[in-house]
This record gives sequence, structure tokens and C-alpha cells, in this order.
Amino acid sequence: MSSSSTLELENVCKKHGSVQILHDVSLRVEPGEFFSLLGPSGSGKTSTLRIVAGLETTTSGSVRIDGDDVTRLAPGERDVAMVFQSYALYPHMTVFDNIAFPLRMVNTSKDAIRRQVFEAAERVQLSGYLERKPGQLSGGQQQRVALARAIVRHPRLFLLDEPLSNLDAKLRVETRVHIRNLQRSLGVTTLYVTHDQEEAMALSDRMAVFLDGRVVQVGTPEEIFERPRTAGVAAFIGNPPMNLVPAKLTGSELKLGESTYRVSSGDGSRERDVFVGLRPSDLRLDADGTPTRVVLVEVLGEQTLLDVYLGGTLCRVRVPGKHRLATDSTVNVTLRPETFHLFDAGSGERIEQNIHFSMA
Amino acid sequence: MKSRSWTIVRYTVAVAVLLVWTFPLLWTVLTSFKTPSEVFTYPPHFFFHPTLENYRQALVGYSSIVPNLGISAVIATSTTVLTMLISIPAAYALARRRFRGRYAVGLYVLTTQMLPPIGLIIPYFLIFNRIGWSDTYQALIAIYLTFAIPFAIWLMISFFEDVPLEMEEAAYLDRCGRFRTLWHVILPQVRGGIMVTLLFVFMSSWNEFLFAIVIGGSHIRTVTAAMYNFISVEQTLWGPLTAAACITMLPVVIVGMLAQKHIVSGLSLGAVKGGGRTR
Repeated sequence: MSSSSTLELENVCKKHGSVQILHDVSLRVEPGEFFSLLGPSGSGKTSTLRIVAGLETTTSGSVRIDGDDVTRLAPGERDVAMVFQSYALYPHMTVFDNIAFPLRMVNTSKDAIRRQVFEAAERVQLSGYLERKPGQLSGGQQQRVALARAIVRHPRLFLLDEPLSNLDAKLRVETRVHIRNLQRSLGVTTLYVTHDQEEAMALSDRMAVFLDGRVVQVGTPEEIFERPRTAGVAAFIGNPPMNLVPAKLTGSELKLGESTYRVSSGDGSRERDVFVGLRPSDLRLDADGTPTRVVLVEVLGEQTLLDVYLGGTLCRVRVPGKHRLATDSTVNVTLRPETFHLFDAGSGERIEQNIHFSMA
Repeated sequence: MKSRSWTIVRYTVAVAVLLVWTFPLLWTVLTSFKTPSEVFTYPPHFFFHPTLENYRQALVGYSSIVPNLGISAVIATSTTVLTMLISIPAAYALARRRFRGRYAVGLYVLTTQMLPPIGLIIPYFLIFNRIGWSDTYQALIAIYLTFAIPFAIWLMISFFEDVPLEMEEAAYLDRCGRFRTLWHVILPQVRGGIMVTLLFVFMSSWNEFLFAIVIGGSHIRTVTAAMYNFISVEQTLWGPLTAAACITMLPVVIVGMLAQKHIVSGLSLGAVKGGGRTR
């Protein structure tokens, strides 16, 4: 096992003509870390990965691996390996030749190639398939060939671009575990691009949330889930994500629809617009709660999703168990102020407040 | 019952069309085995005593076409090799790289295909006379290149576009240079398309007649032009002429049959997978 590498991006900007794809992206990935780039499509996560790989150039800013500036180096000079979304296997070569390809490019001896290919194939459970062509393999097997080809030469960085998106749901979960174990046992610093937050949460040591070409938040999955730094992150993370309800915050009070809540530490008496973030699972059906009309019911087996209006905004409520409620029936929903997240309506930034419930 | 009669109708039509289509070929092949008197017998006999005399005349007779076959082979092979050497990198570049004038190059390549060759004969003739290239190998090769290169580029661009870009990027990341990537990763996948192109280029320069007869001369006379030797003011030697035609067809037919597998896969290459993109 080689010693692990650090990766640093400093103020990386990328423009395509007049369109700015990346705005000042700065990241630091620690040695051996499994780091995910999470964001919706078009948010710049794949561009960032491709810049690290050297497949795309930066407009400004720098990329450093182990402190070496690699910003201007060609992909092959960076000693990084990548698994592509489409796997990009060479269809005219056998599995053996596919995995051996990176070794042949650096003039490895025949014996060493055999040994290393067998070892890599063993790690991804492909030993029996070395003589096949990629076209004769299942999607999951092809994906493992791509993994083997990436790990065979012990790169400084391991880059994965949505490697699971072409697999079916069951295989995706299995392969996820496999990738995590593989990365742990190799100890290789890994950058992982995905739009699937569940995947990012399950795999990552830390992750960066991308929105509109910016890194909005970096942290452990728990940090990001529990304390989203902006309303944008809040609206993206969670399944379903947080409900954002417009409200008014004054020095001492939070007015949300008909209800008023007391705020313990205000910042003066100026009234400002905020969003209250309500996680669907933090809302409760309760006889004491506010009566509201049910717009849509989705029974998902172990849980039920309800669409209701809270404070004039359509919100989703997630309640455990099956609730076969009729559309247009009335339920009582309890909002628990200790679970509120507050965001400034203008900047979207999180506001740290202690909110206490008061009977208004 | 209806479908069965429909099948009969379909086959009848197919055979009729095929007969019309192949009749000239059939006539040529039959005539090449006939004696001069048989050639002019009317109505023509489908069954006759065949002779190889015409082939003897065409191959070892007074105006043997063997030297001309050699000349044609040199010209067609040179044209094909040079065309592929130039067009493969050019088509690859046009398929993959974005650069200024890419569109103009593409348009130029296409418009050259629309030009009627006859319009160029006189300028070519004058130019080659002036620079002393008339009746030389390089004159005909140069002309054929001007037609073959744009055609080959135009045909091969789509084959290269069908190879996913990510496959190349994977190779670059594994320290494979641009030319090695082209050789080891891209070309093996467009092999069918390249075979098709190669065959078309070879065939069109092998079969070319117009420029061969005007620009070529007594010295550099391709086999298509040499067949004209059997046509004189007094008479046309139909037997040796058709025998020469059959001999000339043979290499193309053999190469075509050998390459058939590649041609089919090459022609369907674009239909099977998409995913090509440019950067």
C-alpha cells in the first residue's frame, strides 16, 4: 500500500465562453479520505473532477496533489486513475488486456503485469473472467473491470464519476459497499462524484455540496444533514428534502403563518424575511397540532408521505407507518420549534437561533 | 395463402430486377469466352463451345494488358495508401477537435464531392503539360487523391464520432499519448469503417477511366484505358475486350468478397451505437 496523497484545489474557476461553470472552488482532501462531490446535474461537480483529472483546463486557480502544482500537467502526467460513468472499457480487448493497459503504457515487465492484473482482478472478484471481452459481461462486471483498471497501477488519486448510475438499484447498494471496502483497504485518496445523496452519505468521510458552480458546504455527511449551511443545501439534502416556509423574524418573535414563536436571542428589533426549514420527518401528526388539508398521500410501505399546506406553503410530512388518508381530509400537524432551521431569505445563509415555543 | 402468393410475387420481381441489373455483366462474361463469329451470331447463343483464345490475346497477345495491370496496381495502391495516411488523422481531427475553420473544412470536403470531374479535365491537362507531369504516375495519383481524400475524410468522420470520447480520455489518463491512443484504442474500433473506405478508394481509382485516358498517355496507361486498344477505327475486338474487362474486374471482386464481413459491420457501425461527441 502506497502512502496516501492530499489533493488541494485553490480558487478554481472555469468559464466556457461567457458561461461561468465553476466559481472559486477551493477544497482540501486529506490523505486516504473518501471525499464526495454532491450536487444536482449541471452544478459543476463533474467539471471539478475532470479538472482534477486534467481532462479539462482551469480558467484560473490551481490544483495541487501532495503539494505539487499539477494545474498545467497533462492527464497522464498526474498519476491519477478514473472510473467513468460509462466505464469506457476498450471493447476490442479482453478483460485481462483492459486491466493490463495502464501497466503496458509504462513498460512493465510481462511477469509483473500478470501478477498485478491477477491481484487487481482478485480484489474485484473477476478472476474467472479475464479472457472475456467487455461485451460478454454484465453491467456490474463491466463496472468492476473499470475499477480494476483504475486500481491496478496504484495511482495517487482515485477519481470516480457516478460509477454506480448505470447499475440497477439492488446492485448499486451492493457495489457501494464493495467500493467503500476497496477504497479502505487500498487507503487511496478518493474523489467521488454523485448526484445521489444517499450514495454520498453512505460512502463519504466528507463531502462537498455543489450548487450552481459553487461549493456551498463542506463537511461530514452528518454535519451537512443536520446543519445545512444555506437554504439551497437544505432544499437539496434529505429525501424528501427540507420544506422551506417563508416567515418573519423580529428581535423577539418568529411569525410563521398563524403561529408566533418566541426567539431567545434576537439581534435588534428589525423585522426580516426568513425561511423556516422543516424536515419532513420532524413534523408530527398530533391531535393538538394545527389543522391542515391533505393535498396528496403517498403510502410507501414503512412510511407515508403527506403533502399539506403549512404557513401557506406546500410541505411534505413524513410519518412512520401506513396512513391511508383521503385527499382533502384534514390532519393536525405539529411543528416542533426545537427542530426549526432558520435561513435568511435574502442571502440564504443559516441563522443560528435558540427558538422557544410560546403560546401566542 | 395470401402471404404465399405475395412471396411468389416478391421473388419474381426480385429475380426480374436482378436479371436486368446483371445482364450487362452476364453479357460481358459470356462474350469473353466466345469466338469472333459466335460474338456476332444473332440471336445470341447461351450455350456455345467456349474458348480461352480471348484471354490468351488479352494477356500475352500483341496488345497485352499485363503491363497496364501493373500500372493500374501502382496507381490504385499508391492512391489508397496515401489517401488513408492523410484521411485517417484528418477525419479523426475533424471528428474530435474544435478549432477555427472546422466548419469551413467540413463544407469544403463535402462540396468537392459535388463537382463534376469532367469540368476539371482541361485545367488539369494544361497544368500537367506545363509542369511536365503529363503521362506520369504522379499526375494520375495526384488527381485521384483530390477526389479520394475528401471522400474518405467525409466517410470516416462519422465512424470516429461513434467512438465514445470517454474511451480516449481513459487512455490519456493511463499515459497513452494521442497517437498511441489513436492506434491502440480508436482504430481497432473503426476497423470496419476503415476497410469500407479503403475498398471504395481502391475501387474508384482502379476503375477510373476519364482522367486515365486524357491525362495518361502511351506510357502510363491504366488497364481501363488499355482496354480501349481493342477498339480501333476498323473494328472492335469484342472477345479480347470483354476478356480484359473480366480480368480487370477480378481483383476488385476478390477484394470485395474478402472484405464483405467488414463492409457490413462498417456500414452498420453508425446505426448500432451513438454516444459520439466532440469537444
